[in-house]
Amino acid sequence: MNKLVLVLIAGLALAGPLGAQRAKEIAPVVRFQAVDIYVDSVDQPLAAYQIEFAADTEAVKIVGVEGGEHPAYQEAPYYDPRAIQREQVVIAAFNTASADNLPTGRTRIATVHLQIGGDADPGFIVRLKTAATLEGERVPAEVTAQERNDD
Amino acid sequence: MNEFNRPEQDEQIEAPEELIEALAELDNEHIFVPPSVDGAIMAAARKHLNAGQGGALLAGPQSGTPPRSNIIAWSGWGVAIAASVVLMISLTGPNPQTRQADQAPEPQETAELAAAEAAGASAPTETEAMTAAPAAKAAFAREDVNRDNTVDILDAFALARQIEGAQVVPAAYDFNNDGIIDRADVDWVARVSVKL
Amino acid sequence: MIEILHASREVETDPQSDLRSDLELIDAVNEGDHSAFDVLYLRHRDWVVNLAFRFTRDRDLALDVLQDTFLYFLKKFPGFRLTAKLTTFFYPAVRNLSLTAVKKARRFQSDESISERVEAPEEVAPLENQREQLAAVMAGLSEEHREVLLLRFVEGMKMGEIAEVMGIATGTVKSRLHNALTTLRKDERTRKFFDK
Repeated sequence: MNKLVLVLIAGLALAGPLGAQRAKEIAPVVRFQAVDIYVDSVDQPLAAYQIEFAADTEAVKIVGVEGGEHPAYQEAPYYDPRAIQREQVVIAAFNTASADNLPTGRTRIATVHLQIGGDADPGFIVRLKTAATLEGERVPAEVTAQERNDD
Repeated sequence: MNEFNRPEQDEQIEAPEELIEALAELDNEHIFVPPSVDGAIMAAARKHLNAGQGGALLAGPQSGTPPRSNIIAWSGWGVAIAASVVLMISLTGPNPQTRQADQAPEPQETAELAAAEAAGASAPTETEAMTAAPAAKAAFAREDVNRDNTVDILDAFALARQIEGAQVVPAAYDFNNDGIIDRADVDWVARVSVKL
Repeated sequence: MIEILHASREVETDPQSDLRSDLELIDAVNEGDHSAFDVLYLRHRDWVVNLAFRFTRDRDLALDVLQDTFLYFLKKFPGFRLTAKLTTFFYPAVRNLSLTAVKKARRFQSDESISERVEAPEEVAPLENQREQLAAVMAGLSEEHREVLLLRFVEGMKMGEIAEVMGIATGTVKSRLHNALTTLRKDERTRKFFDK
């Protein structure tokens, strides 16, 4: 009986690490990465923008898009729902608020959440298609993307 | 001309089905073409084809019609002159465009030619501007609210400003056909602009 | 005042919804139907841009080549005559424009910040799966052999068509195809496709 108990205890003791090992072996290798998108309209209030974001590998899937840091763009931007689970997306938003209530300079306008499969170390392309003032006039601006490091 | 006597011999080199499937997968790159690129190309097409049409006097095929003949077409007695021009061109030789129908561009000259064309096409001459009104009944996309030949977020933005400014908005902007022009129509345009 | 000619026009027309053949569409464009050009563009856009990507291996360049190709095509109207498949017409144009684009791009070096195109890491993971092995063997083929293989078995072109787009004799096509398949058959990484 004691031997049986010992065997049972040993079995239970090993089940934990062995189970974890098994889980580790069979768990799919994916990681998640947030990429912050910034637009810098210099000294012009940013009233509208449209950007295109694409990863250079199908190992990347977009799993979410969220709004930016400024109140004018905190709401989730427009994007095609079909972009979810694909590697590219067009993101756009506008705000008809007064200039005082619009961001100027460099601002995070959106964040794209990615699921990256395997050991892929993808590259990204982000293109600014348009940025505009309150009057709808296009303004020169710069778009950048930055992987977020979660601490 | 096929140098083999039996046409079916042409296709006798086969490959295993599995290999063909693997090759197809290998070549299966999907490049995202942004709506803005589509819009630019179609707008260029409209402009080019309208320019060709502007000088047209006759319905039907326009082979031989020079693209910038609208100048002649719209003067009072230009009708006869244009007809004569067309007749002369058809008599003197084939349309160079037709002759080149199957001739691929040489790498260097075509890219430069295309660039030159694009540059030239973007700056209408004064004469073109004067005669633009009847000829340039350009067909804009319904959602191209700001008429810049591109459907993007600025169209949604423009519509939103018109609505918020309580301006009179054309009925054509009732994109969702619900009888009112409101934020739902703005969202409609915005969704079109970000479509993959 | 610019009028809207089309009461309702989707930004992207489903090319599959238009049942006209390429030949019919080209006739329509020659007769002034601008929307027919849009259908042709949307019908062949993805094929052109993916082919351009095959040559350039660069998304931005592929998009540039897409635009240049259709601008080149557009210049043929009015008066364009289709004497083969439209893809047969596009292929050499795309190839030549791609070569030019790649040559031009090589003159410039851009910073590898994430806001620009980031290059893939140079070290390659061990070739484990069948697709990667096939890719490796294909990469070892000469460009001419690789292209003939893809045109025949992925694009489904006949020998005569391949000869036309590549500007070589049909016999040369057959020879290159045979040699390419022999290479794949002999290579231990791709022999498995032929063993069944």
